[in-house]
Amino acid sequence: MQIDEFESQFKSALKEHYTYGPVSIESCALITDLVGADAVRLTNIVKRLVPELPGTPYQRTERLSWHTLGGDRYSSVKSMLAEVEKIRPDILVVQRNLKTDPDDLVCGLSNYLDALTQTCRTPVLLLPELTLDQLEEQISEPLEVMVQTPHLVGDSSLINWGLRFALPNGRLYLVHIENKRVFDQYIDIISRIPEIHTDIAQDSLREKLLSLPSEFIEQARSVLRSKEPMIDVHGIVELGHRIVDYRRLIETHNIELVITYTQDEHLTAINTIAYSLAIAFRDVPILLL
Amino acid sequence: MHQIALGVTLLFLALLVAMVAALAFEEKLHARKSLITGTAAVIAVFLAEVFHVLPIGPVVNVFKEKLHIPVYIAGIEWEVIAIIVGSSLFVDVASRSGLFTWIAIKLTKRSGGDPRMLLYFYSLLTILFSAFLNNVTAMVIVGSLTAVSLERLNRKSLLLAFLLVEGFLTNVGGLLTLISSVPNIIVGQAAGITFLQFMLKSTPYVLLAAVATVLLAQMRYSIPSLQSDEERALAKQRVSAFDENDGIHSPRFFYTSGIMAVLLILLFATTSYLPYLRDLGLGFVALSFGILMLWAFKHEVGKFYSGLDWDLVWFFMTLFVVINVMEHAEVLSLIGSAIGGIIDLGDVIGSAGLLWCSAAASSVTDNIPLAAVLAKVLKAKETLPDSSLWWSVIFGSNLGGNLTPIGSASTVVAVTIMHKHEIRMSFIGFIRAALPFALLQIILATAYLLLFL
Repeated sequence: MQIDEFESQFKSALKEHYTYGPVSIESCALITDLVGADAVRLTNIVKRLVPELPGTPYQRTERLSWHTLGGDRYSSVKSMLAEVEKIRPDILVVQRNLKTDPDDLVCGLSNYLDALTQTCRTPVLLLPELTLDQLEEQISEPLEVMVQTPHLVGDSSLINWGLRFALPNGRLYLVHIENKRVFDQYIDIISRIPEIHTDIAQDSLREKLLSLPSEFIEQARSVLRSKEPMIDVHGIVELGHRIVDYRRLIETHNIELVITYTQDEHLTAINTIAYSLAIAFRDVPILLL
Repeated sequence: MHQIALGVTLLFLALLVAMVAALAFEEKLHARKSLITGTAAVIAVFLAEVFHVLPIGPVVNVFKEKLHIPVYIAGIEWEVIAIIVGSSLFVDVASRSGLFTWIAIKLTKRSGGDPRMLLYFYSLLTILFSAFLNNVTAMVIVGSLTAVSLERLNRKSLLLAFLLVEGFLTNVGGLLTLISSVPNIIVGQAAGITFLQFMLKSTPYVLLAAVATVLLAQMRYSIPSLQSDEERALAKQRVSAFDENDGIHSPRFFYTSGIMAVLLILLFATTSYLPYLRDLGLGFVALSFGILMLWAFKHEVGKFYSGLDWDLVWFFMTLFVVINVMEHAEVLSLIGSAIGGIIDLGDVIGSAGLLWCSAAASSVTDNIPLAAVLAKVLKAKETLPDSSLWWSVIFGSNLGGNLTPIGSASTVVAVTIMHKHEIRMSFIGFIRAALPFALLQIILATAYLLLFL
């Protein structure tokens, strides 16, 4: 009898559980490079994206205070961070391409956004790359919210943030896409090891990779069915290409807000999948936690 | 039995000593036990034929029929082999039901994640599993769970202490029943001790030694108890993430396994009192249950046959061949006269001396050949079944395993788990850690032996 065999059984029995914990937003800051009336107009548009909660179902009304950091309030990354530190908001709503020509940002998010995602622990809601008029037309209270991350298992905060935006009666998609390219690479290596049966390894690995997030999502759904019955919660777990499949899901389900996670104890924010998604998906608001 | 020249006896004694030494240095030789005893068996049988030591000829059965069985086959204690093979099959199949992991996880959750409670529960689990399964399986199951649960509780610094205690307790739990360890089976069969008699005599000592071991570990390694409500709530939340039902793929098989396990223990306990079964013996009961359990996986029984520890089975078979030859070569009589010197020191010193000598010997080499040799010696001396000398061998050969990392198979497993989790543990380091525990257990055993057996 192998030690590994039993360790695997016990590790498999260890299930991460979703913990319901409402998120409260009391202070929100918009960072834009617009000034004057345009900045005020953008603030009013953005208020639709982060609406105050009604008294139900959280059984409390949030008094949301808004702060606008217009382009005239800061001239450098350092001064912007100093302004944010003064406000200490619960969430930052940030315009894309801050003080940078979009043509220079094909593969990045600008120095300002890099600094915010890497040094600031405050969640950053990144606006789509649209003009003010387009934003006016397209931004509304999100009803279709997608929470996605490769680390969904065990991460209750992501779902709780998703819940905050899907309230009071939106639809919440909990999505987990396992990287098929990495999976195929490992199976390719396994297929070169005669001691390991490739078909069994492939089936077992796929089953375990997908069952962990599936079980977590199912448990979260069961909690939310009792805690937030008005919200329609769906789970999607697949093996695929992350950027391509997230894009497909956003389009298929008309997602109005994507929530993802940049905090990783092993990676800097700039190296996470969330950062790649933020660059790739420029037409949908993304909340970076 | 014909007269054997002293020179021939000494030659065979040298072979036995060489085999025991090779078993002691098994790790250094990178050779499996069965290969060492197998080689010794081949040489022993061949030399026995050369020196006319074995009575070669047909074997006569109870119907006075002459059977042509190879001489080396007749020397094997098949009852012991049947118990080992049957029990191994039963445990292997039953473990697939998720029964043992279910019990282990239930206790983990019941502890609330409190390290001290976890130590108590895992100690209890180790004793029960090593008593009713075997000490290696007990160490593998409880040791693996310990590593996973302490990591979950962010208490990996306690892993060394837990694994040491569990390793020591496998050999204490191995004293609880007649089938808990192979020395028990060998000595019990030789002495004619029944399952129930064995358990009644061993239980008080096992309880005493277990409590003393756990308390000593608690003091030496400062195993904490959670103080604040906040700590307790966090620990409880962490262990509640274990799902005890995860390993149960078929509830029907799970319940069947549970019922079968209870039935097997009951039958083991009552075999000597039941008609028919009392003649067929424990080996028949173990094999029957092993075969019945295989019906749960009737299409893949080959997997379980190949999963049997053939190294262990071959080890026993070839060891019995060697011992049988040694008996005919009068090596055992020679050892018996040496041990006779200890036994003749009187009831008190003789029994205690045999216990300490057995413990010292089994700490450096395998306790199974030791138990097999001493059982044969005591049987040849016509030792009565209720003599405390049998118990000296049982206590000594089981508890001696706690003195060194190679003293028993379960302490080897404990050290393997330590190395797997990057805990450095040298041979000397283990002896330093183990000495207070082993001495405590042997002193308690000596006192128990002298006062109550």
